[in-house]
Amino acid sequence: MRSSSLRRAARRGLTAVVVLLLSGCLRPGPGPELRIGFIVPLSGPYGPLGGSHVEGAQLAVAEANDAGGLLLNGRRSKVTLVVRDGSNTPEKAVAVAQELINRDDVSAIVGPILSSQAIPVAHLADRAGIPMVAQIATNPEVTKGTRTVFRVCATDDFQGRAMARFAFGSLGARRVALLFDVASAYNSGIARIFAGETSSLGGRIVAEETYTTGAQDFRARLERIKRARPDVLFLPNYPVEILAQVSQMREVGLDVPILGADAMSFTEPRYNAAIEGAWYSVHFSPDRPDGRAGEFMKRYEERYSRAPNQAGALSYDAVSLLFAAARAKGSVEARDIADGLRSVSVFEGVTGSMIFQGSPDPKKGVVVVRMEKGSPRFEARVDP
Amino acid sequence: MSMPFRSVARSLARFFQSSLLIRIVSSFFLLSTVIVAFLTVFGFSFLARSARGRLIDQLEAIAAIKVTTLNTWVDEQRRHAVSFMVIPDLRRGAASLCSAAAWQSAAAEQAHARLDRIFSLLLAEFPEVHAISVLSAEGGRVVFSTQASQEGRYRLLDSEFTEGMRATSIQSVHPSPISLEPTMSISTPVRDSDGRTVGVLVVSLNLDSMDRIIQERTGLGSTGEAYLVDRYSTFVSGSRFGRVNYPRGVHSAGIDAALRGQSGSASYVNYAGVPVIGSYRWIPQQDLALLVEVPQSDALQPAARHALLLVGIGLSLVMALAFGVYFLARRLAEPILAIQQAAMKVSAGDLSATAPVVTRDEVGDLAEAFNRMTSRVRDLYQELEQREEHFRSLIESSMDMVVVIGADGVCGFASPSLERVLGYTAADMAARPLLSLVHPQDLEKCRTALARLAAGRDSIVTGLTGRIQHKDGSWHTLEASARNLLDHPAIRGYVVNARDISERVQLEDKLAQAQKMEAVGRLAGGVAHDFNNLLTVVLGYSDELAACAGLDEEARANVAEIGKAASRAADLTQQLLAYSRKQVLQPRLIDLNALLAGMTGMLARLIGEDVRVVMRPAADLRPARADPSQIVQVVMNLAANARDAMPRGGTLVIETAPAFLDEEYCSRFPDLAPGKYVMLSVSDTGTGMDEDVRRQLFEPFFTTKDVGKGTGLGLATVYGIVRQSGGHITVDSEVGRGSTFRVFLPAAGPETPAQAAQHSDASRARGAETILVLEDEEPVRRMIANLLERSGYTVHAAARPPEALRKAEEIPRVDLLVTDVVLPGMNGREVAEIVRRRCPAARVLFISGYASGAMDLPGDLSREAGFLMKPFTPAVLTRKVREILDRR
Repeated sequence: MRSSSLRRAARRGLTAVVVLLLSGCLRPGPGPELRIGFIVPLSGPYGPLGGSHVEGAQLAVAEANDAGGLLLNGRRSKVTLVVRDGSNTPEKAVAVAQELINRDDVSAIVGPILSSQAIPVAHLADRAGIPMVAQIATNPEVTKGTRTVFRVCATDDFQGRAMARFAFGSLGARRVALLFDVASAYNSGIARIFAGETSSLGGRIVAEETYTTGAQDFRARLERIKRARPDVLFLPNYPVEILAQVSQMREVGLDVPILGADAMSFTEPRYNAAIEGAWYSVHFSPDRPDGRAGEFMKRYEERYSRAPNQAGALSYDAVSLLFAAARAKGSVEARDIADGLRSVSVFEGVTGSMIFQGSPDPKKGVVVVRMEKGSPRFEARVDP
Repeated sequence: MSMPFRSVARSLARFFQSSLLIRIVSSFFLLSTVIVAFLTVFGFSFLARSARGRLIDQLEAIAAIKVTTLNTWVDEQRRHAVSFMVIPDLRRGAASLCSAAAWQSAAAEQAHARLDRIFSLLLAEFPEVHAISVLSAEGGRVVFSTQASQEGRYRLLDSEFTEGMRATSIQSVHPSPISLEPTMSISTPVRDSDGRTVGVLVVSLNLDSMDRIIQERTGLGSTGEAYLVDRYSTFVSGSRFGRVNYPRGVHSAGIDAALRGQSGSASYVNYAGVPVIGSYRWIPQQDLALLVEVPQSDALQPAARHALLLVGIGLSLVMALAFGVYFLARRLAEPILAIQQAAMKVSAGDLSATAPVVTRDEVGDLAEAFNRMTSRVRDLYQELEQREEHFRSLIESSMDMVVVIGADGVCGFASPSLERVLGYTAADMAARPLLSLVHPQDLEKCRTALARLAAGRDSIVTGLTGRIQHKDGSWHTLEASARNLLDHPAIRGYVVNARDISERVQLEDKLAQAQKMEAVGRLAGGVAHDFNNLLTVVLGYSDELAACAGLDEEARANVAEIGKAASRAADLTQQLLAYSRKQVLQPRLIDLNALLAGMTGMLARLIGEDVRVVMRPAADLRPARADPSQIVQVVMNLAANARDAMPRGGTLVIETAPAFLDEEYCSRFPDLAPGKYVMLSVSDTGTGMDEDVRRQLFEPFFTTKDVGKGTGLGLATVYGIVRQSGGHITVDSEVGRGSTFRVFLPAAGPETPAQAAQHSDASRARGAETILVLEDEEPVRRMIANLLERSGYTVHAAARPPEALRKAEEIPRVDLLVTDVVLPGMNGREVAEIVRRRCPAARVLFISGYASGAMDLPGDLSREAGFLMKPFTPAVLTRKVREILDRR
């Protein structure tokens, strides 16, 4: 018998004893603890992104615990969120995930947020039979070929195509340019989908400039793009890079409408001015909230004294989806939660309805917003 | 403990307690087995402890060696990687590949092909190398890899790239984001000819090969193992253990301790659940945990083997000793068993069983003591039986009844005499309240007595009398004593002793009756005495008067009437005296026929009119010797008896006949002499008597008549008179046919009875002798003195004996002393004796109203003395005087 199983069996035995003791008090005892591993960047270049995710996830956990615990089979299970810094490297994310699985004895993992990290971690989790929910890792590869990995966001497949159609249809863009990090799975993945969809719609890719992670100087590439005279520039990159790229665009005199994907949502609104006028896709639009979202926003603001962003909402949904799966099977066991995830057909999240129907990737729409006067404005809803 | 187990344990315990032999042997067996077990456990723990100590030392040593070996191996690999870069072709190829602006270019392909060749050779040369890649400085793009699939990937965030760009470095074991397997690599910068870093050479090490170094066992036995675990609890060698078996890594106390950075040795359960003794090390240089483990079962195998050997030897010894003990115990136990056998027999009741005395030790003493004890018990038992028999027969043969009544009033024990007396068997008495047999009038008395006993106020009640119903319905009077023995353990009841006093009560009743009659008789006798004196005077003077001349005819007739009435009164007093038997027997020759003839009137009065009296006097009957007055009584009594037997009338036959009783007949009765007898029979045609009545017929106080109707003395008197007269009496009777009493009186010779002369001569006899008269009654004395003086005698009269004695002194001679028997101070007989000493020739005539027991006439009364019963007529007196004086 493996020691972790032993430990779990011991914990279960102890719980059983506690249950027996408390049943003398005529009250169902607490259920076993539900431990959820949470991998987000808390350091490195994407460190600032982590905070909102942690807040969203902890709101969901707090709600469950404030109710006395997650109600499973008539018993309340305390939920513990084991937050780990995945930084920005796959290596770090895998190591952290390995530690969560082997040492921290978690029943499920939420994250990581970077597709480059989420892809290896997904395989690691799948091999260990640990359920994983990616809140915003949109690359199709994340869930591909796994049985225990799910997500609560639209994939790059969908948002890439959605943005391509928006550019071609709504903006009438026929000449399209791309600048993206070829070494990053997210950036390169969505860029390829966008390019492919644009081509199939009849648009033309006039420039496809790539760089590798950590590049600082994009001016040469932007010069080449300028020369190609595109109608729009698609920048499916991470905020830090976007800020540099937008700034250098002005330097080289490239004035062209900017399109982005979900990664364009800045955590800090002070940077919003930099992308004034840009269109990008988001998973969560606070200015058109439905009932659930409004409720969530209220609670979020009560707790953190600020409006939630997409990151917080998605992490909230990811944790909530795990709760739904655990409730469906009445268990905190990894295998049961994975089964529960597979059995979820429709999940109403604060970020919208998710229709799984046997797929690890929900059919879920995105919202196209335009940055106007420092804040994103609803432009269009794209449903699958 | 479950019930069946308990019952099995109980029966086992019984089995072991059942036999001495089994107990000795099993006790020894158990004891020695416990000792062997203790020795084994002690030996095993000692051996195990020392084996464990040795093993831990060994494991520590091995672990230390392994760590060194591992560090050396990694160092060696690092040197290899660095040395690769010294190969000129390799360095150039790598640099050009990294610098190539486009990797699809011809130059790039040429460089790629060159590197491919070199690295293929290197891989073949160094099996420790798993893969070699070249990463371009731009984006960490994999420009070459011995694993072609890796080419084109960007690895600029991987430590292999970032560290390798700076200097030669070792990436300690970590999970690879690509393969997800623990990976260890050595990366070193690739520099172009200008010395610029254009890329990184990454040499991935074959961790299986590293593991093999660790795995090589040195003194770990066949089952011991050494392995490496990374900081995430993952086996370094996936191929060796099979990663899929440990999806959440491997865990054990040893691994956890090592991952906490500790080193040491301990006994714990390893990742596979096997108890092991292990040594663990954290190797900080390599970020690895080293575990060296040997299963405890193997480690302690020698100790266990030794312990097993110990057990084997110990048990063999125990078995051998057990056999020895068995035979020894049997020898010791055999005499005891023999005693036990004998004891079993004795306890089963065979008191004759003896135990053989086979040894002279304590067991022999035991056997002897046992035999002595048995013999004593036997003797005691016999004695007890005899005594029990003794007491039982006492109780059984006792006329007294012994009954034990329980607290519930039911008879628990009844002695056999109960059946004899009351007709009830013990079974009849069982479950029958004794009080139900008690006469209702006596019930309250009995209840009160029992209640007093029960209340403890009396411990014993005696003299309790009451009537109990016989089984046949008759009532018996019982006298009982009862004792409360409820608390006596052997009795638990009231013990009642009772005897049948019915007969005694009847006797007492009869005695009281008889005493009453006696008193009446005494009274009658006393009256008769005085009466006789008076009658004597009356008779005397009326006779005198009749003899006086000068009385006219009428006066003479009146005087005669006075005389007759006095005579009749005399008869009556005579009968009263006879009835009270206060008369003196004066046997003489009597003619029975004449006697009977004289009784006819009396008989007729006695018997009444319903019964016909037939007299059958025999002719030529000899006279019989008897007191006629007694014989009269005999006849009267027999006749009364016959009359009572014929309440509805019948015939009474009185017969006389001569009889002869031969020797043969007389020999059957004591004091009956053979010879001639005169038989007087009285027969009736009455109810007759059965055998029982006949047997008791002559017993005093026996009567079949109601109380007050008979004294029970009638026939007894008859018997006594007949026997006193030397006669014999028989009775023949048949129930319903009547009875015949036959009285045999001794016959005398054929002489004429004197009685005839008495009655035939009515004239007075005369004489001239001197007569001293002593009579205390004045009228009688005067009458006698006058009469005798007139008849010619010289008479001296005295009223008191002293006076009589003085006169006897004074007067010259006394020819006859006429004296009353009963006198004040001195009786007539004493006076007669004194007088006769003075005048030996003097004759004596005793006169008396009655003869009391004190009046025993001397034997020679018939010759020198006479007796005359008062009252008497002057003629009788003078004749009697003359007769005595005339005796010569």
